[in-house]
Amino acid sequence: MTYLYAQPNLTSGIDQAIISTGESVPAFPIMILFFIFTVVLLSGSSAQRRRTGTADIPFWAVLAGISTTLTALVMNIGVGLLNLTTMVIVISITILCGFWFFMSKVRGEQ
Amino acid sequence: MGQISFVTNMIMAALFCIAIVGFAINFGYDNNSSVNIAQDPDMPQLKSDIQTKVELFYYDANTSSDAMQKSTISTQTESTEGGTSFKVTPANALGTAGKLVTMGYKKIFGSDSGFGIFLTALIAILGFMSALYIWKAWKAGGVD
Repeated sequence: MTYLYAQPNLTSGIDQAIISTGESVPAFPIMILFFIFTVVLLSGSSAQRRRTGTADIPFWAVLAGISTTLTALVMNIGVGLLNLTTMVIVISITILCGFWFFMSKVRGEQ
Repeated sequence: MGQISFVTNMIMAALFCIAIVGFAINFGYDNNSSVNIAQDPDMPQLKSDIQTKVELFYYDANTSSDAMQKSTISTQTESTEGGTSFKVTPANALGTAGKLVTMGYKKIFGSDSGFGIFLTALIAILGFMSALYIWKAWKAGGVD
């Protein structure tokens, strides 16, 4: 059977399987980061909206950015998952989310 | 958004940027990461630039606070010279708070730590807010 990409070697450990998949499909690690960002942002804001009636989107955006940054930092320890450009873009998005969060607060709002 | 909250939010955003970039760089160094954002010339440069801005804000806030405390309202026809109390209380209060915070900081973080930028920004914001509140209470100006 012909596969579209090289099959990962699962006998070398789960981390090597992820790295092999990332080498075959370069968008795979980026999709993981995007998935984490989206899950934290949507689940957090929707849960807050359900409990309090309003959702603090900038807060959940910066929290999703920090979660993504921490995940990307751990993924950067090994070789072959993320390149420098992706890492810098993740950091930049987190900084922009933080700027949005701080500038969205009006006087007296926590 | 008033002037105090605007400047405070800007400083907090700058500190957030310094914290994120600094943490990412040092995480890469500590764990011997294959990819470290310190390899990108823009990120350490961004951190250094913003750090310089925050330190400059510290000196500017000190200068404006001193000028505010030393200024007076001259004697008018039906009023005496004002502003004496503002020369004493804020300077003493800020000096006391600064000594207390510095002592606690040295005991916790040591004398030469990179965390100093956060203490610098905190003291600068205190001085800046004090100066603006003095201005608002004394001159009845439009600051918020």
